[in-house]
Amino acid sequence: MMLVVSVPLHVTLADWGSILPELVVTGGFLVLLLADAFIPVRRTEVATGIALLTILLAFLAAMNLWSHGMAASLYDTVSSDKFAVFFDFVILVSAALTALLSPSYIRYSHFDPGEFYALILASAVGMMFMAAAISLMVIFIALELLSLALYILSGFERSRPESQEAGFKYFLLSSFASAFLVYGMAMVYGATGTTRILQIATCLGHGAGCSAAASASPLLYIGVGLMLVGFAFKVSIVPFHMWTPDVYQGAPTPVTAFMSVTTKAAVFAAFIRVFNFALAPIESHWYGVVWALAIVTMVVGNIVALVQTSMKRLLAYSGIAHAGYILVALAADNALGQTSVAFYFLAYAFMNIGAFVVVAVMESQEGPVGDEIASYRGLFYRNPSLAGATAVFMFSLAGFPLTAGFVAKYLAFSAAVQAHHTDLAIIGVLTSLISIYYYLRVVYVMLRRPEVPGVQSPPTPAAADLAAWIAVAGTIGLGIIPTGFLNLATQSVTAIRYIFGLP
Amino acid sequence: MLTEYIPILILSLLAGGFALTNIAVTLLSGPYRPSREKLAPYESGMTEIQPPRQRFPVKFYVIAMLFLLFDIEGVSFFPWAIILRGLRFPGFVEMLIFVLILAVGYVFLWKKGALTWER
Amino acid sequence: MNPLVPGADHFLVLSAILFTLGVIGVLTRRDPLIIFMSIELMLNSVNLSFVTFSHYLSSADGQVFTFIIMTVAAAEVVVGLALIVSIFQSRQEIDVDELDEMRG
Repeated sequence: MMLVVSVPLHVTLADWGSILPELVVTGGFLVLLLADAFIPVRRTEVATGIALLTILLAFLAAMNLWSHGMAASLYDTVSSDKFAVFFDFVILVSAALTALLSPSYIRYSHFDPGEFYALILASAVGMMFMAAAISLMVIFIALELLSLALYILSGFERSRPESQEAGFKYFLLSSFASAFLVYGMAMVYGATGTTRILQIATCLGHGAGCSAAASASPLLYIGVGLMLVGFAFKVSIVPFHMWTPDVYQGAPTPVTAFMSVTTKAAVFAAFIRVFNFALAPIESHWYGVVWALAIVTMVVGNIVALVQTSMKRLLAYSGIAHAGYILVALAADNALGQTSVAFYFLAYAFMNIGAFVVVAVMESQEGPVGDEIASYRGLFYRNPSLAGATAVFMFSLAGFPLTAGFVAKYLAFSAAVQAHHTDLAIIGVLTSLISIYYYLRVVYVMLRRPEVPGVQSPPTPAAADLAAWIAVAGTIGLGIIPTGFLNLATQSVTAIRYIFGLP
Repeated sequence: MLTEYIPILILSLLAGGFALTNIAVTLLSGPYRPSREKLAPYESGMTEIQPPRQRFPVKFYVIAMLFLLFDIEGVSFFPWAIILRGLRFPGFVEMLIFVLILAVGYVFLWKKGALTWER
Repeated sequence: MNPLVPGADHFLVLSAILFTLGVIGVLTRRDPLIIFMSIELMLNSVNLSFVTFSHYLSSADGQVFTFIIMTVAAAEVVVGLALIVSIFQSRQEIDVDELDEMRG
C-alpha cells in the first residue's frame, strides 16, 4: 500500500525560528544537565542563575515572536500565533517566580538543585509546545513531556514519604488519563482522517478535505468524549479531580506552585484550540457535558475547600474551583471567553504562585507544620509584610475588586452572559460567594493574637521575598490597570480567531 | 482468497501432529516412576539450596530501565532511514541534533554513576 | 464481503476489547506493576487503532502517531519503574492500598 505523503520534506529556518522560545529552554535544560554532571552544581545559586538566565532569554525570544509569529510551521503541527506566545509569557513568568521561590526550599529539604531546575525547564518546554500545538500528535507528546517531568518533581523530596506517594499517585492516575486522551485522538483521527487541528476544523465545518460523513460518525463523538475525559483530568475538573489535593499536598511546595498554574494554563490552551476551534462546528454536542462539568466543579471545589486545615489542600480545592470558572469561559465559546481564559492565567500566575511562595517560606521556617492553617495564627504580628502579601493573594483569589482575580472572574462570567449562558454565570457568582469564607478565614487566623506574643519570624529569604513582591505587584497591578494586558490578551485571541476564519 | 493460506494450515497441522505423536509415544511406551526430586520444577538431580524466588538487587532494574530508554529511541531511526534520500542534508543534521540530545542524557547518566555496577 | 477476511471493524473491535481489558486491569488490580502493564496494554490497543485507521484511510499520520506513542510509553515505563524503585527502597512493601499517608 502506498502512503500519501502530502507535505514537502524539508524544514526551513523560519520553521525553527517559530519555536525559538522552546528551543532556548531546551538548550538551558541541556546546559543544566551537563553542568550538573561535570561541575557538580552543589551551589544552589549557580543552578538558579542558569535557570533564570534561560527563562529570560526565552522571554526575549517570545517577545520577538509576538510580532513575527507564523500561523503554522513544521508541517502544520505547531503555531506561533499570538495566542501561543501569550501562554509562553504566562508559563515563563510562572517558571521565573518558581525559580525565585525555590532556593530557600531547596536548602531546607536538601534537593539536588541542578536536577530540580533541569526538570522544571523540561516541563516548561512541554507546556510551551502544548500551548503552540495545532496537531493532536504534538498535543500528546507535549502533554507527556510536561507530565513525565512533573511526576519526577512531585516525588522529588525522597526523604518525605508523602512526596514519593504523591509522585506515584500522580503518575498512575495521570498516565491512565493520558491513555483515554490518546484513544480519543485515535477515534477523531479515524473519523476525520487527519490529526491536524486546522484540517479537522475545515472538515467538520465545511465537509471539505474529508469524508462528508465525518460529523455524523459515532467514532467522532466517542473520540470527543474520551478526549474530554483526558483534558478534564489534567486540569482537575470534578469528577476527575481526586488526585489533585493529594498530589498538591505531597509534592514539594515549589513544584506545587509551578504545576498548579502552568499545567492548567498549557492544557487549557490546547483545550481551547481543540474544543473552541477544531470542534466548534459540533459545539451543540459537547456543550451540555462541559456545562455540567463546570457546575459540578465550581460547587464541589468551593464546598470541600471549606473544611480544609492544610494550606496546600485548601489551595488545591481552590484550584479546582478556579478550573471551574475557567471552564465557564471555555463553554461560552466566544471571543470574550477566550480572552478571559488568557487573562485569567496571567492573573492566576501572580496570585496563586504568590500564595504558594508564602507556604514555601512558612515551611522552610517552621518545618512541615508551616502547611497548617493554624500555624498562620498571629502572622500579622510576627511577620507583617509576609502576612500582608498573603492577604492580597487571598483577596485576589476570592475575587475582591481592585485585584487581578476580580477582573479575571468578571471577564469569565460576562463571557458566559454574552453567550446567553446566564445560568453558568449565576452559579459562578454564587459559588464565589461561598469561597470568600475560606479565603477570609486565612486572613482572620493571621489577624488573631499569637499564642506566644512578641516573637518575630526570621527574615524572609531575599529571593523568595522578591518573588512575593513581584506577585503582589502583579496581582494589584492587573487589578487596578488591567487595560494594557487585557489588550494583549484580546490581540492574541483575535490572532487565533483570524487563523480559523472567525471574527 | 483464503486458498493462499492452505499451505500454512497444512504446515501447522503437520507441526502440531508431530508434537502430539511424540508426547503420545513417550507416554505409552516409557516407564513412569515418579519421585520427589523428579517432580521438582527444575529436575536435574540436585536438591534446592534456597527457594528460587528471591528479590533482585535494584541495580538490575536501573540497567533495564536505561536499556529500554535508549533502545526504544532507536525506533525513530527506522522511518528516518527510509526517507533519508528525500530529507537530504538538513534531515541528516536534524538527526545529529536528536542524537546529540540523547548523548547529553547518556553523558549525564555516566557522570552520575548510573552505569557503574560496583558501588 | 467475506466475513472471514478481517476488515477495519475487526481490528477496531479488537482494539476496543484490549483497551477495555486494560481499563479493568487498572481498576481491579492492586499491584502497581500490574496496573502499569494494564496502562501499557491500553496504549498499545490505541496503537492498533492508529495503524488500522492509517491503513484504511491511506494516511501516514496514524503510523507516525504510533511511533510517538511507543516512545512515550517507554519513557513512561522508565519513570514509573524509577518511582516504584524509589518507594521500594524506603519502605519494603508496595501495594497501592498502602499508599494512604494523605486523606481528606
